Amino acid sequence: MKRNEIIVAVIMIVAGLIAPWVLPSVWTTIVSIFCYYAILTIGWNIIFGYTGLFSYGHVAFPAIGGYTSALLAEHIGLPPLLGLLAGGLAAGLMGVLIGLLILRVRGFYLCLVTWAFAEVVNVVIKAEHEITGGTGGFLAPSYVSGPNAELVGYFIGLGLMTLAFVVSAILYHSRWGLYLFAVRDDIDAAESMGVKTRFWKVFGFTAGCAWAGVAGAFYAHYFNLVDPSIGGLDEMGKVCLIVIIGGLGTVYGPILGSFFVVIVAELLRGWMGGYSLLIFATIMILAVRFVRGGFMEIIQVVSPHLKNKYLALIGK
Amino acid sequence: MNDNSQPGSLLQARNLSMAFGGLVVFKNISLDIIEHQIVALIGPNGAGKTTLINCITGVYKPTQGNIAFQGQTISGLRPHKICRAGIGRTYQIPRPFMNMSVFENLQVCAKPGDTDFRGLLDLAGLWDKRDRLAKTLTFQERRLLELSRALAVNPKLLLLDETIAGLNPTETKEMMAILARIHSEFKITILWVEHVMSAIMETAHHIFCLHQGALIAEGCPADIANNDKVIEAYLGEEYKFQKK
Repeated sequence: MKRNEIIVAVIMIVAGLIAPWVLPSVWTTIVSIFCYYAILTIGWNIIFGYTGLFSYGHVAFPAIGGYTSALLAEHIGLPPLLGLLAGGLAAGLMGVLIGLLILRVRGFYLCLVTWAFAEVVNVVIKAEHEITGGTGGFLAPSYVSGPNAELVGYFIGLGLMTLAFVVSAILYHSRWGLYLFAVRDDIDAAESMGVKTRFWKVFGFTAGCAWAGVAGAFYAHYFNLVDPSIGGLDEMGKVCLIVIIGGLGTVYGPILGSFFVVIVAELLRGWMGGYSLLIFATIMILAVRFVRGGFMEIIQVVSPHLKNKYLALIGK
Repeated sequence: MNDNSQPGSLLQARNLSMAFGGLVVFKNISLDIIEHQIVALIGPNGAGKTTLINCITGVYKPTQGNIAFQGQTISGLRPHKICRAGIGRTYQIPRPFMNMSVFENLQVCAKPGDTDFRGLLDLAGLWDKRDRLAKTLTFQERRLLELSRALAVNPKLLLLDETIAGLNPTETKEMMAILARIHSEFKITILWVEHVMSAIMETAHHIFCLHQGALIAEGCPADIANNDKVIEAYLGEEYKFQKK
């Protein structure tokens, strides 16, 4: 991890710990939703941003993670904290299977296969209503019972998000990360240069899916409900939006994007009203047209100027 | 050509055939690459030169025949295993990892823990640009980067696919000097597919000529330049005239 990333991680934790005491209580829910999207999109960033696999079925994995954890809690009484692990494992396992399935497909076809998979998951969840509760959803227990349940859930979300951020930052700077980038940039050349591309393709996909599963399980126990809508296509659009306007393939991208799409959107809700989707869609089109790197690119361009201004200001 | 390997042979191909469905690219090719030589592979467009390289590196599995490297059969192995066995390659159009820095390009190909690329990057003249993204490099620099990346895997045999195609005369000269250094300093055997005859005649120790999927001639540069079959298929009458 680089120094800046450690600073950002510390700021996230400190700000998160202070927030419930200074902000109105509705904000713990909003920040928890932010945590959910941040973990989910950190996963997708590993799949698409690091490894270059355009998975359009990413939202199937929080559904798998969420239902796994909720069903295990209901039937064998698994504590929600272990449910987070179980949800991540279940989604990761499914990620390995789908990862093996998509070894031979690339680009647009990979997108179609994963999209189809997400639709299948969605249909199965709705159809098997005796097991999953159908469209009505399935109840999941809170992390703790009592009046502090929401606050505890909030802190768990904060911890998980920070963990996901730290892990993805370590991966970004590690040798494993280099292998993933090589697969992203040119999979044939990587294979010819001694990189085990099959393994790393499945690894990147699985790692991202496992985080999505953790996110889903967190969501289920936080809201005490998991329903098929978390695996819907509009959610997938949101995932793409978050990562692309945040900065695809960067460490901070998913966090920045989630912050914008969840928290800034909430702040501006009175002003934007029902037009938020329209505004976000416009921003995404503008980002894709003018700043491919999203917010991170803007920061990278602007920050040297700011640094110079600051140095001039303090007289150096 | 006999089935026994020649002395000093690093790579042996025996009765190699490659076909994509009904399209036969080459048939029954046998060749030996002798250690420490610069071996050139020439032939008209569509003769099957790049396909042969792709067969050796494992990108394609030959339909028939066998390839042995240092006495071990390598045909049918995955490309990354063949690479680790000691065969590096470059592409006709350079394919570095565009969104990675020059240094990372070498790092990802080398063995873990191997981080001393000063020598390789100095050779390619890229040490000062080691932190730049590969996509910001010029065409020639990308080619040099690809070359040093291929060397980073520590190969015994280096396969070059038209390394000087598309370079201007000055760049060609620089590239030739670098290839000569690679051959002498790193003690690497080179199999070199090329169209620029003057460069090949100057550097190669041994030349194979491929035409319509068959090996029509092999020998030292002087023999090849005077071989009637080669002249007819590839070089053209003018070349014979020049040589005389």
